[in-house]
Amino acid sequence: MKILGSLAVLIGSVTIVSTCTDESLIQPFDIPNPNQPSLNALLDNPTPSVLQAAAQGLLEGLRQGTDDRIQTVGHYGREGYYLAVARTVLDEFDEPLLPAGGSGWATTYTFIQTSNAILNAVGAVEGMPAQEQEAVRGWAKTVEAFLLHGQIRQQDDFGIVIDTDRPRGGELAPIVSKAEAFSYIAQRYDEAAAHLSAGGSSFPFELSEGLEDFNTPASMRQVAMGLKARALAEIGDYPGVIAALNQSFLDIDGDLADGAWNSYSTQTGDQTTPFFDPSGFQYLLDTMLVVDAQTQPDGSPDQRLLDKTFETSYITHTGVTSNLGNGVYPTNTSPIPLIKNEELILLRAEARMFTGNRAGAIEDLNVIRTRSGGLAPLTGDPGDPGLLDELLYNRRYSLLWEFGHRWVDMRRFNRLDQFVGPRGPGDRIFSHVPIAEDECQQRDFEPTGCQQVDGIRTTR
Amino acid sequence: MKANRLVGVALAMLFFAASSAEAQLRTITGTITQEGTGGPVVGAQVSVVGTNTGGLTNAEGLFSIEAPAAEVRIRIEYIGFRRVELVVAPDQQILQVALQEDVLLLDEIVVTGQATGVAKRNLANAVGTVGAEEFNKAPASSIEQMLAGKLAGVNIQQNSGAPGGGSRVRLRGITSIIGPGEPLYVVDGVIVSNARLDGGINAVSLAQGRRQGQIASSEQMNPRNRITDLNPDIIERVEILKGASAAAIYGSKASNGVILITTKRGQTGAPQFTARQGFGTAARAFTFDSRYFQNQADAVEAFGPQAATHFTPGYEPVSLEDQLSGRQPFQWETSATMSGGTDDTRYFASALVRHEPGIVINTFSDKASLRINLDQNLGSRLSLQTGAEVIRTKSDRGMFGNDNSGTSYYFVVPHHPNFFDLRPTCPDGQKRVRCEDGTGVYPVNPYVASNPLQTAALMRRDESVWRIISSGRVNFEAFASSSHNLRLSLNGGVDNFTQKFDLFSPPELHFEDDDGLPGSRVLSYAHGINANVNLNAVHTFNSTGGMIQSIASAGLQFEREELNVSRTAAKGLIGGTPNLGAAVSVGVGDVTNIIQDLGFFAQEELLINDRLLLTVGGRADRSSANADTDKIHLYPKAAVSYRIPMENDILNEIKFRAAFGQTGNRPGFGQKYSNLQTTNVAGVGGLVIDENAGNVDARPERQTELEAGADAQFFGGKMLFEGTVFQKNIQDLLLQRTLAPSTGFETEIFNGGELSVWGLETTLSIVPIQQENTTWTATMHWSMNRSEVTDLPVPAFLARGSLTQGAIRIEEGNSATQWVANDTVPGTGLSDNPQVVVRAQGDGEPRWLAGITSTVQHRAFTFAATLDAQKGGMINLGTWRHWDGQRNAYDHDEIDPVTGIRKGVLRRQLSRVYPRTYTRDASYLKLREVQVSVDVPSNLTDRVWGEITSARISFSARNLFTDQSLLGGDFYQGSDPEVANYNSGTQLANNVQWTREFAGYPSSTSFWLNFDLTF
Repeated sequence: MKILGSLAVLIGSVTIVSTCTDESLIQPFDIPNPNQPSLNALLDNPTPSVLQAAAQGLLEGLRQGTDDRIQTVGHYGREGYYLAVARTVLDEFDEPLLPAGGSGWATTYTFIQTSNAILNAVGAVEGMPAQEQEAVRGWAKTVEAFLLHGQIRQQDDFGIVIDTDRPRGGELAPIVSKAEAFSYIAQRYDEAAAHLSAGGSSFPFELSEGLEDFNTPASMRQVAMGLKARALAEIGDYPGVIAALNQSFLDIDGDLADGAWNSYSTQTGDQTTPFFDPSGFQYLLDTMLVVDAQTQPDGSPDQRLLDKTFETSYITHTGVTSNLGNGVYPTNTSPIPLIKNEELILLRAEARMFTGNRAGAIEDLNVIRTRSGGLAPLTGDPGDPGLLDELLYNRRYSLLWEFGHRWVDMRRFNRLDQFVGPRGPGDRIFSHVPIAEDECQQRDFEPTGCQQVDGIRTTR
Repeated sequence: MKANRLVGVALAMLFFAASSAEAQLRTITGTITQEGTGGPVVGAQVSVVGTNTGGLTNAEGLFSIEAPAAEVRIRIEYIGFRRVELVVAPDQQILQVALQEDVLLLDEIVVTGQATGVAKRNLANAVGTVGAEEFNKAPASSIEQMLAGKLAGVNIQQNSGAPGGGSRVRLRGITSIIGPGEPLYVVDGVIVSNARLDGGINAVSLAQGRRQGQIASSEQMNPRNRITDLNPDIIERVEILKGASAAAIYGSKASNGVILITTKRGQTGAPQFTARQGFGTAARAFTFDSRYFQNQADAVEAFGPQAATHFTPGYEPVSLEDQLSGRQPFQWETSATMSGGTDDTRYFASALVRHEPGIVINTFSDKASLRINLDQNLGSRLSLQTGAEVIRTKSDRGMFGNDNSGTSYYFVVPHHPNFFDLRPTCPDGQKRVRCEDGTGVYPVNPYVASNPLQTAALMRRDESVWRIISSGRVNFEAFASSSHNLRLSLNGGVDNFTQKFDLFSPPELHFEDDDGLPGSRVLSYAHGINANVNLNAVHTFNSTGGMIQSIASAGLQFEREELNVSRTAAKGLIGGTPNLGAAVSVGVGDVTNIIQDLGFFAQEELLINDRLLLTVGGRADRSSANADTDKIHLYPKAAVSYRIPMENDILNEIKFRAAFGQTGNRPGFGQKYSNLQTTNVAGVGGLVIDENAGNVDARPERQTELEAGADAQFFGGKMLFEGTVFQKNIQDLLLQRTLAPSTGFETEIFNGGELSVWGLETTLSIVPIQQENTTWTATMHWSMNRSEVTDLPVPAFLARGSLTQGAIRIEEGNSATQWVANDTVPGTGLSDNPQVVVRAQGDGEPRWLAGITSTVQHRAFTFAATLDAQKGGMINLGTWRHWDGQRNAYDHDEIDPVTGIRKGVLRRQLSRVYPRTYTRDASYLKLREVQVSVDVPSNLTDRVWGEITSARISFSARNLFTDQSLLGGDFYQGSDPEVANYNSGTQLANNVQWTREFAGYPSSTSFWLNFDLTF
C-alpha cells in the first residue's frame, strides 16, 4: 500500500507540476494567426515584397478565371460533360436554370479585390520606382478586365457588376448592362496597355512558365490587346478587333500554339491540370464532335479531333452518354491557354469577314484548316452562311474546351437552336446564366438577372 | 501569484471558529440491513442530525455512535440506497434499519460547481445523470452510444455505422449557428478533446480538386470524434448539465452544455476483481437494393451502350451492397478491473481490449485502454486523488462519403448495374468477394472510376491514436470544526493525444492514375493538448441543529488547448513504394490552433432546513479567441428550489425549482482573423485576399437561460415525475453571412442577432414492482424544443444548403432550423416550364424526442431495453438522388398511382423544383438496446472456483429494430434517418440540423454475448 501511495503522490505531482510548468502555460493572450498572413499586411502600406507577392497571386486569378468557365460553359456549349457526378448533368439539361451558388462570381470578384488592393497601394509602396508601379498597374488591370469578361459572357444580357472598389459594408454596386460592361472591359484593357507602355523593361515580380514569352511590360501589352480583341469580337466591334489585333502578338507564320498559358505543376502547394483525365471517366466530350468533323485528304477525320480526343468506354449519367475521352490536356501538367496565336488568327478571320475582306478571311481560315486540322484549304468563297459556318467550325475544333467559346459563338450568331441535345430532342439550351444566387439574396430589389432561365428545347 | 493571494483572502475571510458546548452523551448501536435480501450494509454513514457525530457500519452492518441524551434524529445514508431519517427516543439504545435500494437515484449527489454538489432532492436544475450500471448493459463502441435515447433533452445520433462509432450530441436544441455546438466534455475535472480529425482522404479521391497537399478538412469524410476513445468501463457516473443555468460555472465554453464524466475509484476493503469477456457480431441494418432490368433497352438507357454487352435477359442479379458490407464479423472484448485499498490508500485499475471488425471488407476498430486511479491520504487533512489513463485506438473505416469522383465505396453502389459482377478472379480461378493476401484480378469497372471491392481490399487507411489523460487533485482541509469547514483543492490535468493517419493507396487501384500520379500515400499527424488547472476554496457551514447549511466556493481556472495537424500527401509513388520520399509529387499542409482561457468563479449555496436551496454565483472569463483578449466577460447564475414533504401516501414530496444562468460560447479559433491566402502557380508563389472576411469584433455568444420545474415523488419513492420548462436567449450570435460576391468576399463572420429557444422536458420514473425476487423499473422521457430567430441585423440568408436541394434559412421571426427550398406552383410541377417558388417546408429540429428505458429483474434473470423515438426532423437522402440519377433505384419501374409515371422517372423530374422529393420526414422509432442476462447461481460457480462472488451471462443487441413509419417518417428504403454526411470541419451543419445522408458507412445491428465475473 505504501508503494501505491507513493505512486499516487508521484502521478499527482507530475501531473500538476507538468500542467503548471508547461512552457506554453503562461503566454500572452493576443496570439497572432499561426496559419495565414494577415490581410492588413496588404491593405496598410504593404512592403515591396508583399506587393510583389500579391501581383504574383493574380496568376492564380487568371488560372481559376479560366478553369471555372471551361467546365460550366463547356456544358452549355455541348463541348463536353463532367460525367463523374450525376447531379451536374441532371441540373443542366432537365430543368430551368435557377440562380445558384456562386455562378463564377466568387472567383471573379475575390481576385478583383486583390487587384484593387494592389492598385490602391502601389503608389504608396516605399522605394518602388514609378516605372515599376506602372508595370504593376498594367498587370493588375489586365487581370481585372480578363476576369470581368469571363463573367459577362455568362450573364450576357443580365449584366454584371463593374464598380468593384467600394468600401466594405456600403451599398452594393449596381448591376450594369452588357453594353456598359463591355465598354468598361475595353477601357480597362486600354488603360492596362497605357500603364504597360510606361512600365519600363521588366516586371518587378515573377510570372509563371506559361507566360515566359510575355514577361516584360511591352510583351504583356500584346496579350492585353489580344484579350481585348476577343472581347470586342463578342460585341461585333470588328474595326476595334482589327485595331487591337494589330497590337497583339498575332503572327500568321508563327506557331499556332504560341501565346499566353496558365501553368500547372506537381509542386507543393500547386495543382495539376484540372481536366487531365486519361482514363476517360470524368470529362467526356460530346460525341457530335465525331459526327461533325470534316475529313482530311487522306480520309481520316480532322486532325484536331484526332489530337484532342480518344475513344473510351461509355460513361452514362442521367441519360447523357459519351465514349469520347477528353485529351485536350494530355498530361497532368499540361498548360491551359489564356489566349493563343491560333485564336488571334481566327479573330482576324472573323473581323475581316465582317469588314468586307472575305478573301483575307478565307486566307486566315485556310491557315487554320491546313496547319491545325490537316484539311484541304478552301478553294473559293463558300458564300453565306457557308463562310460563317466554316469560321464557327474552325473555332469549335481549334478552341475546344478552352474557354467555353462554342456556347458564346452559337449565342452571338443566334444559332443556339442548332444544338443537338446530348440525350436527343427536348434537352434544354440556355442563352445565359442567372446572376449568382448569393448576389440576388443580398439585394433588396432583385435584378432581372435573378429570374429563372427556361431556355429553349433542342429539336435534334 | 494571484492564486496565493486569493487563497489568503479566502482564509482571512472565512477563518472564524464556532464552538459547541459539550453535552451529556449516550451510545446508540444497531444494524443496518438491505431490504429484501436482509444482508448487511457495509460502510453506511450513520449520523446524528444537527451534530457532527456519526460513524460507519462495519462488515456485519453494525454501528455504534455517541449521541446526545435527548431525543435525536438519526440519519442513515449509503450510496445506492434511499436515505433514512428517524427519531430515536431518549431511552432507545438499539436500532434496526432496513435500507431500500434507491433505484430512482433520489438521493445521489449531483455536481453544482467546480468542487461542490448537492443532493438531487434539493437540486434546482434538471441535470441528467447516468450511473455505471447503465453503462454495463449492451456493449457499444463509444460512450455516446450508451447514452443515446436515455435522457430527456439529450439528442444523440450516430453519424454512420463505421466501427469505432462517432456521434453528434445536442443538448436542448440549437445553441449556436456557426459557433461550436457540441457540449464540453470533462473527465475528472480535465477538459478533454472531442476533436474530429480526418485523414486527408481527399488527397486521394481528389474530391476537392487537384491541389497538392490539400489539407483543408472536409466535413464529409466521416471522421470519428475523439470522445469515442474513452473506455465506458471506467465510468462511475455521467452528469449532463444541459444549459446555461446549470453550466454557468464553466463560463464561456458551456453554452452547449457540459458532460461531466466521473471515473470509478477504489473503496476501502479487500481487493475486488471483475472480469468480462464478450463476443459479438454485427449485420447491416438497411439495404437499398437496386433496379432489376427487364430488358436491354432499359439497361442501355440507364447505363449507356456498353450495358448491351453486359446485360442478358433474365440475369441473376449481383448485389454490390452484399459484397461490400455483407460481412458478419467476429468481434470481441476483454476487460478487467481491480479495486480495493486501506483507509489511507485506495486503488482502482481497469484494462480493456476490444477488437471490432466492421461489416465492410477490411474495416475495423481496435481499442486498448488502461486506467489507474489512486487515492492517498497524507495525514488527516491532506488527500490526493490521481488518475491516469492510457488509450490506444486503431481503426480503418474504409472510404465513405461524398467524393464527387466515384472512388468512395457507396458512391459507386447507386451507379452500379446489378448485371455486372465486380468480384475478382482469385488465383484458384474462382470469383470471390475478396482473395487471399491481396491477390486476384479485379475487373475494371466500366461504369464508374473505381471498383470498390478492389479499393476495399487493397487500400490501407490506418488511423491510430495514443492518448494519455491524467488528472490530479489535492484536497487540503484547512480548517474543520463542528460547524465550519474550509477545504482547498488544486485540480489539474492534461489530455494529450497524437493521432496518426496513414493512408496508402497503391498504384494498382483503377482510379489511381486519374491524376497521372499513380499511387498515393498520405501521412497525417495530429497532436492535441488540453491542459487545465484550477484552484478552489470551499467553505462549508452547518448551523447547530442543521437548520442552515452553506457552501461557499471560489476559485480560478486556467485552460489551454493546442492542436496541430500536419500532413504530407505524396502522389506518384515510384514503383508503388509506400514512402513519402519515393514520390513524384509531394504536398504538405500544416495547421495550428491555440486557445487559452482564464476564468474566476465564485458561488454560494445556502440550504435552509434541507428544504430551501438558494444559489448565487458566477464566472468571469477572458479568452484568446476573442478579438479583445483583455476583455473580461461575466456570467452570473442564481437558482432556488423548495422541497415540500407531504404527509400523504400517494404524493410524498414535491419540489419546485427555478434556475437562471448565463454562459458564453466563445468564437472558434481563427474566426477573428482576416487573412491573405498563399498561392503557388508552377513555382511562383503569391498572396491573394482570402474570400472569407474575419470578425474584427469577435466575442462570445451569450446565452441566458431560465429554467423552472417541479419534481414530485409518489408512492413512497416508487414513482418520480420531473417536469422542466426552459427558455434560452442567445445574444451576440456568431453568424456567418454570405456576402454578395461582388463585394469580393464570399462570407463574413460577425456577432449579431438573437435567437431564442424554449422547450419542455418531462421524465417519469416508476418502480411498478420492487419485491424480494422481482424488480421492475421504467423511465420514460419526452422532450421538445422550438427556436426562433428573434433579431437578425442582416437580410435572411441560407446557413447551409441550396434552394435546389433544400437549405436551412436563418430568417427573423422564424425557426432557426427552418428548412426552405424550391417548390412549384401547384399544377405546374410536371409541366414544361414549372413555376418555381421558394417556401419553408419543414424544420430540421425534431418535433419531439422520447424514450423508454426499462429493466425487469426476476431472481437471476434481468431483461433491459431502451426504445428511442424521434418525431419530425428532416433528412436529405443524397444516396437516393444518385440511385435515381442513374435510373437504378429498386422501385424505378413501379408506377406512381397518382401521375401514372414510373416512380424513378417522376422523382428525377421533380427533384430540383420540388426538393422534398429527396428530403424526407426523419421520424423514427429505434430499439436502441436489449439485454437479457442471467446470474449464474453460486452453487454452480462454487464448483468452478470458490472465490467467485458473482457470475453473469448476458446477451444483448443494439439497434435491433427501426420503424420508419409509425411516427410519420417517410425516408426511403435503405436509408438510416440518423446518418449524416456532413459532420466535421465546422459545426454548422450539425448546429442548424441540416442532415444530409450520402454514401455513408451502412448502419448495423450488433449482437453481443458477455460473461461477467466478480471475485
